Amino acid sequence: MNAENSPPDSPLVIRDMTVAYGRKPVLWNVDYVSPSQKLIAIVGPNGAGKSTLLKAALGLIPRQNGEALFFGQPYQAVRQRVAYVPQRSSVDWDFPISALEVAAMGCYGRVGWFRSVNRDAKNTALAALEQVGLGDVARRQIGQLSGGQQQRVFLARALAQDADLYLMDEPFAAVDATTEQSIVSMLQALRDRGKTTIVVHHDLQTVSEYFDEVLLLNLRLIAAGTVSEVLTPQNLKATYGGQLSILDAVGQRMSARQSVTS
Amino acid sequence: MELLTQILQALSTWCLIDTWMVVMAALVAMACAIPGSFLVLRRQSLLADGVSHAALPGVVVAFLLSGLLPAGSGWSVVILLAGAAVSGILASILIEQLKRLRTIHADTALGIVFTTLFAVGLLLLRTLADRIHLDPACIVFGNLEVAVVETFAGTSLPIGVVVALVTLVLNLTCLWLFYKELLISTFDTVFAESIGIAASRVQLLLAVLVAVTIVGAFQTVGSLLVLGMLVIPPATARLLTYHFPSMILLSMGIGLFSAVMGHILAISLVGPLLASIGVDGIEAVSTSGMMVLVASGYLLLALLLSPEYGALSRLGQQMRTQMRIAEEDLLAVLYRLEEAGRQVSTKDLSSLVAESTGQPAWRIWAASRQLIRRGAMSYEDHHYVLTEIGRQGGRQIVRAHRLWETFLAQRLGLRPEQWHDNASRAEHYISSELRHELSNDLMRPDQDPQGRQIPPES
Repeated sequence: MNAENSPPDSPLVIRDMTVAYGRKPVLWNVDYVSPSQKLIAIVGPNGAGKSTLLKAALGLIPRQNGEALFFGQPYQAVRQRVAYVPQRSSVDWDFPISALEVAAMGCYGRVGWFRSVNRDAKNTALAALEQVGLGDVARRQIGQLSGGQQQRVFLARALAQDADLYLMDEPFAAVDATTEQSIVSMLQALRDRGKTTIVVHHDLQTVSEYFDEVLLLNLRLIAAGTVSEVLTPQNLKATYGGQLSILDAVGQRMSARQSVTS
Repeated sequence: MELLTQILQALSTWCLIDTWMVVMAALVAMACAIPGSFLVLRRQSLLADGVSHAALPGVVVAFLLSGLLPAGSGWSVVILLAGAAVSGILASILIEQLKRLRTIHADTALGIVFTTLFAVGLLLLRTLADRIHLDPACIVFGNLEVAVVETFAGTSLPIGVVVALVTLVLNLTCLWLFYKELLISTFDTVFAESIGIAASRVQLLLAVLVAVTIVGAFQTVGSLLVLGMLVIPPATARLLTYHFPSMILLSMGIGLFSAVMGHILAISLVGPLLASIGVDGIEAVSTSGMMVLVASGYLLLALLLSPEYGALSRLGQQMRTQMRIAEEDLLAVLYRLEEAGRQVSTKDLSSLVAESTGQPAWRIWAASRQLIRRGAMSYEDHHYVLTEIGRQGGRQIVRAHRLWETFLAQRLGLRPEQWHDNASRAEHYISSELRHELSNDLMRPDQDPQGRQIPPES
């Protein structure tokens, strides 16, 4: 799919977006149209601009050029249909606040300025925590939770937002294998309920296992589409340059996968 | 005894002025706790320092304007606080603009804006010195004693008390209205932005609250010590609770008690105390100084006694761990002796444990008392005998030790002389799940690398 024949209700359309930090461009002219109801990975080496792509699309950092439309509208108009999960390392986990209070923040967008958080929000937050398996630690201070549990608190907050598009920045960073599996099944459950999820992901090995679609990024968009279309040796080489060991590993997996499917 | 009499005597001269001073100081301290809690959590304590400087031009202009009004009118108070708020807004906007240039870092922008505004204020103050009655020393150090003497015309209500009350009410109102926004933007700025709560607006709100609070406190504690009241009570409360609303309430309580205790100590304790060491003629010291000292005293107490961060609880935890290790060492040695079919007297056992583990004799004695009390071993005829509970405990430690030695040898490839000491430390931290995992990982060995049997889990 490309920008010209995009359906009007595509969850995310990025047109000619360029982002620069100071004078150094970190993303060049990205054009992307996301499909609906898919699990999508953004993959690329360190410093490729993966997190920047999400933040710039949401307007959290200024765009030098281009625009991003969510469900055919600018972000401000459809905030409540979009949930963003920042990197876990972006907050102070010693903060005096409970898992329940963090999850309840997912309802703040609907509550509006001047209004306080009501009982409904607390109930929604508790339900979201139970969904990620943290119902019994809801009242605990977040610093007492393990890294994997903290990541799931963030996911619960996103679930409480009850959005149609979820944008997640490295939800698998520094979590154990069990947590990774439970997060993956949560994401798949979201997709099965008709939601779209775009995830910044750093592990090329698991892309084909977890995701439907992939977006290869390295300062520019290299390729986007279904996993089997996009993860070709040429595309990976363009993305990862000289890192041949990774390429070899993935190439092997890819060829194994192809021989299974064909 | 004589000291106590003198203290009571000093307190017996308590009058209405003292009451007003305490009320004013307490109101200021409670007002400070609200923006202060956010500053501490946002790691922006220095913002308060900056705002206290940046507020000067606003204060000078406000004084100039209020000079046009009849003395003793309530409007001068409003003008003063509004002047502070305008300064706070101006400073915040300038900082945001400077940061946007990206060539100047946030901390540098803070330094530039605040000192520049202070310089403007200073020039204004000097130029207008004849027309306004503003004593710079009073602003810097505060003068509670004088502040309570100025009353509204025709009443005995001090203007300063009303200023402090207005500040407190303003802070409480903003806390009530914007609690959600302040909290979320402080905890997770990026997420707050993503749901439409702009960090710059929240920052602006906080800067205004800080500016108004500081100016409201100029006369009470002065522009220097007010920083202490903004930061110390919340920092203390932070050590004592994990619940944010409690943290704010606790900071307010600590502020209140600091004010009350500060004034009582200032008028009663210091004079007699100095007299007792031969320094006469000092009746009372600055209440504002004493108030901040008392707050620091509470912080010190919290550092010692806090359940989570306190030095005492850490010491206690350390001692409990040491005791657990001593008990486990004792059980493991008894288990090994039993394994070898030996029995030694309690005295020999103690020296054996002391020698192999480096535990001091008193702790080994205490550990043996504890183990007998828990029914892990019994004392029979000059030696200890393991009960089934104790044998189980010893077996698990020995199992952990030998599994770990096997792991060190096979997986890490360490030399034999490196095995024992390492395993002696690690054995106390290997839980039953870890033992299970280790055993599976090593293909369920039944002997350690030195050929000794690895006992089963139970």
